[in-house]
Amino acid sequence: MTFADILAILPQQLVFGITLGTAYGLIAIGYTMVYGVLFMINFAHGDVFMIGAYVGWALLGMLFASHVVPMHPMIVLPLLLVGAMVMTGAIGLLLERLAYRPLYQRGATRLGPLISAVGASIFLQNAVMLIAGAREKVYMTYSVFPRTWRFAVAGINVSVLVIVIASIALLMMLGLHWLVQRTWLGRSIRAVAEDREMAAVMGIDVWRVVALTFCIGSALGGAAGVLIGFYYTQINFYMGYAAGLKAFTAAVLGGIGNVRGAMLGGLILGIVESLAVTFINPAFKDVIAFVVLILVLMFRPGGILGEALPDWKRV
Amino acid sequence: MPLLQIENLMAYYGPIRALNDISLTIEDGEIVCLLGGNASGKSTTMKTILGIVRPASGSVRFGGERIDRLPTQAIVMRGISLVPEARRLFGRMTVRENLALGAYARRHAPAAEADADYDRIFSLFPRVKERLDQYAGTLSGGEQQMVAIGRALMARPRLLLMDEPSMGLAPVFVDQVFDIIRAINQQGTTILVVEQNAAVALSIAHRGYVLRNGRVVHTDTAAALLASDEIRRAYLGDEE
Amino acid sequence: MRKIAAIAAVLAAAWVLAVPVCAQDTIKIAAGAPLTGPLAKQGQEVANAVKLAVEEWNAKGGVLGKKIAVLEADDQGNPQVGVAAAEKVAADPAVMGSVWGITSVTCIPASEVLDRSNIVLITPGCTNPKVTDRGLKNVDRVCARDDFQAPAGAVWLIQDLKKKKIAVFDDGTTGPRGGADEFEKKAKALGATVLRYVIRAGDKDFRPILGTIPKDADAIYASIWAPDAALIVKQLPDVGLTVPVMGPDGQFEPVDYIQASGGAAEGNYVSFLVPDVKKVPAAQAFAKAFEAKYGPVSSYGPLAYEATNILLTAVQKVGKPDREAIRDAVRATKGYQGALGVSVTFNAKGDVDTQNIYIYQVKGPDFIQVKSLNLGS
Ligand SMILES: Nc1ncnc2c1ncn2[C@@H]1O[C@H](COP(=O)(O)OP(=O)(O)O)[C@@H](O)[C@H]1O
Ligand SMILES: [Mg+2]
Repeated sequence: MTFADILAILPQQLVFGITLGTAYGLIAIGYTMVYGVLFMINFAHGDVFMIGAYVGWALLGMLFASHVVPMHPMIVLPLLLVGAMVMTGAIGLLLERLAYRPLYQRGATRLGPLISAVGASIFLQNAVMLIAGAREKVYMTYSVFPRTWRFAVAGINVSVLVIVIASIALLMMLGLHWLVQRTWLGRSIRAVAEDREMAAVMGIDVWRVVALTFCIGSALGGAAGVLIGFYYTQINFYMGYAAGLKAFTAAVLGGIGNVRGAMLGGLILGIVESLAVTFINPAFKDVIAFVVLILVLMFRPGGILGEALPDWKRV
Repeated sequence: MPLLQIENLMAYYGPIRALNDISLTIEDGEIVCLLGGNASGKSTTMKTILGIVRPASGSVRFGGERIDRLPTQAIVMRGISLVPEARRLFGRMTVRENLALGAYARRHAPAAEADADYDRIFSLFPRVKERLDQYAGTLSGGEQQMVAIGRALMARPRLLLMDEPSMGLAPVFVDQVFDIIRAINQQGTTILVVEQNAAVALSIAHRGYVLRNGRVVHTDTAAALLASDEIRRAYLGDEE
Repeated sequence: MRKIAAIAAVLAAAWVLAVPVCAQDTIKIAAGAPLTGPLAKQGQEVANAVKLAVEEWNAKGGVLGKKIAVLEADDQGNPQVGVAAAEKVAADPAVMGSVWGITSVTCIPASEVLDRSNIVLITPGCTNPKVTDRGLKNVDRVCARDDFQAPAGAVWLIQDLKKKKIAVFDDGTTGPRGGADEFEKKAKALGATVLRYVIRAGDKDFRPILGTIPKDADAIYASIWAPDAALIVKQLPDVGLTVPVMGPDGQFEPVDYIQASGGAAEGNYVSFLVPDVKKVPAAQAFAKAFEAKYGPVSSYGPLAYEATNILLTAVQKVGKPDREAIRDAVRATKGYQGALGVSVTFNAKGDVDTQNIYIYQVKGPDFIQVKSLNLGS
C-alpha cells in the first residue's frame, strides 16, 4: 500500500474507529466505576452489555411488528435506549445485591467476588441463550436508519447512523461526567471511591452508592448494547465476552477507576483497532489492542489518566 | 440526661480485644478529653461511637437513643461528626467539595443555612477561603487540619469527635487548634477530643478519661487530672 | 459362589450371542454434519435428507434383507469434535458407509479416521480440493469442488458480467481460503485484477476492512459463510461501495444470508452445487417428500439424498456387509441416474466427472437460478 493510498483511506477509518471507540468507552465506564468503588472487576459487565443489545433487539422487533409508532430514529432510539437501560440498570442492581454484596459483607478476599463475577457472566449468557435461542439475532438497522441517509465529505462516507451512535455515546459520557462532578450522588461516588470509611462518616450510605454505581454503569453498558446492536446489525449471546474484554482493556488503558480515562481509552482502542485492520491484518486486531495496552502500561503503570495505584488498591 | 452515654462497651478486631468494658458519659456542652498511650483504644472508642467498629456488647446512647446498632450514616445524621486521625481529607477533591461533603447529612437544608455554615468556617479559618478550589491533597498539614475541622462542622454536629487534632502540626498551629476547639465549644458544640498532648488538652477540657489496654483506668475533672502525680508522670512527660 | 459364576456364564453367553444378532439385524449408515452450533441448520438438512432416503429404502424392504438405521454424528463444524465423532462411527461394526459433512475442515480429518476402518465417506458439501486430492480410497464427493465452484464464480463475474477489478474475501479457514485461491487463479487467467482480503469469521464490524477496498473495484467475491456475508453486504454502503457481491454455496441461505441482510443482498449472486429442485422434473418427488417431513429444501439436502442413494445402491450391488467392497463399489459408480436429473460418474479421485455449478441471484426473499455452468473435470 502506498503512502497516498494510506492517506486516502485514513479519514474513513477514523470515522469508524471513533464510532466504535465511543461505544467501547461507554462500556468501559461500567468497569471503571465499579472498580472505583469496590476495587473489583465486574466480569459480568460485558454480558450486561449483551443483554442491553438483546432488549433493544426485542423492543425493535415489537415496535416493528405493532406499527404503533413510525420507524423514525427520533422515536425508536429513545424507546430502545430507555428500555435497555432500565432493564440493564435493574440487572446491575441485582448483580450487586446477589452476586457481590453478600461476599463483601462477609469480608471476602479479592478472589471470591471475581469468581462470583465469572459465574454471573456464565449465568447471564446461558439465560439469554435459553430465552432467546442460540441463533444470531438481526438488528433491523436499516429500517430505522435508511440506507440513503448518508453523505460524503471530502471522500469520507458518513452515515447518519454513525453520527447518531457517536453523539449519543458522547452525550451520555458528558452526562455522566456532569453527574459525577456536579451532583450529590456523583460526589458520594467519588468519596466512596477515595475513602469508603470517611464517606460513611460524612453520612453517605456507602452500600446504596455502590448499588447505584452498579446501576448506572450497567445502564450505560445497556445503552451501548443498543448502539452497538444497530452498528453491528447482528448480535449473539456471547458477544459480551469480546466486547467486554475490549472495554475492560480500554478502562485499564485510560486508567482504571478514572471515568475520563475510560472514555479516552475507549476512543484510543477503537481507533487503533480500525487502523490495525487497515494497515496490518484483521486477524491481529485484538493482539494490536493488547500490544498498545502493554506499551502504555510499561510507561504509565496506572494507565493514561490514572495514578500509579497504591498497594492497597491493586487487584 | 447525658448527651452521650457509653456503658460496658466491648469491641474486637478479629481476635484482638481493643475495648474492654468501657463506660463513659459526656454531658451537653462539655469538652471531654480522652487520654492514653498508643494502642490504648482511644481511636477505637470513637470508631465504635460512629458504628465503624461494631461493639460486641455494651451500649452507646446518644440523646437517650441507642445508636450502637445503627449504620454509620444514620449515626452521623443524628448529629455526631468526626475529625479523624491524620485528617483523611478527600485528597482528589477540592477544598470546596470536601466542605460540601461535610454537609452531606444536611444536603436537603435550605441553601441559606449552608451559606451561613461556610461563613462560620471562613471566619474560624480565613485561610480555608483562599484555598477553596485547590485539591485538598495539595494543602499543608495545618491547612488540612483546618479543612478537616471545617468539614466536620458543616454537618452542624451536636457532638464533635476529634482524634488527635494536633498530631503532626507545627507548635504555632497546635495552640491555634486548641483556641478553635474552645471557640467551637463556646458556640455550643459538645466535644470529645483524643490527644497525645495531654497538658494542652486538659487545659481546655472540663473532664478527662484515661485509657490503658482498652480499659478506663482513671476519670476525673481536668483540673484534678492535671494535678494528679500519676497522670503527670504517665502522660504529661513529667519525669521528676 | 457357584451361583455368581453361573450368572456370569449366562450373561457372557448372552452377550456373545447378542452381538452377532444385532449386527445381523440392521445395517447402519452414518450421517455426519454439524448438528449443533452456527452451522446446525445446514447440517440438520443433511441428516434429514439421509434419513429420508433411508426411510424410502426401508419402506421397500431395506438392503441385503436388513433394515437400515441412520447413525447421527455431530461434528459441530469443528475438526476435534469431528474426529471424535468419526471414531465413534468407526467403532460401530454395523456401519457400512457414511454421508458426511459440509465443512472441509472437519470432513478431511474425519475421512482419515474412517479410512482406517475402510468406511466409505460420500460428501454432499465439502468443497475443498484436498477432500479428494489426498488419494484416499474411501472419499467420494457428489458436489462440485471449490476449484470449480470458485472458477465458475469467476467465469460468471468476468465473462458474463464483464467485471474487471474484483475484491476477494475469505476468513482464513481451509474451505473459504481454498475457494478464494481458486477464484484468484481463474480470475487472473481471465484477465481481471484481484485484490485479496481476509476477515475473521464471527467479527461483527467489517467496515474498517471494507473501507480499504479501492473505489474502482467493480465486484466482490466473498468466499465466506452466510452470516459474515450478510454483514458485509449490509455494511458495504457505509464505505460508499455499491457493487455486486458473489459468493459460493455457503451463502445459499435464505435466512442467514438474504433475510439477515435486511434487503441489502438484493441482486447479489451465489453459486450452488444443486440445481433449483423446482426446475428439475426428476427431483419433484424428493422435494415434496422432504418438505412434508422437514420443511423447505434450502441447501445440501438434495445432494445428501443423492449421496445416500448412491451409497445404498453400492451396498446392494456388493450384496454383503463388506466395508471394503462397498467402498470400491461406490467409487465404481458410473452413469447413476439420481433425483437431480444429472448422471453421476466418479472419476479416479472420487469427484464427479461433470462438475455442475448453478448460478443463483437474490430476488426478494428467494434465490433464482440464472445460469447453469458445466465444467468438465
Ligand atoms: N484496623 C485494625 N485492625 C486490627 N487491629 C486494630 C485496628 N485498629 C486498631 N487496632 C488495635 O486495637 C488496639 C487499639 O487501637 P487504637 O484504638 O487505634 O488505639 P489508640 O487510638 O489509642 O492509639 C490496638 O491494639 C491496635 O493495634
Ligand atoms: Mg489513635
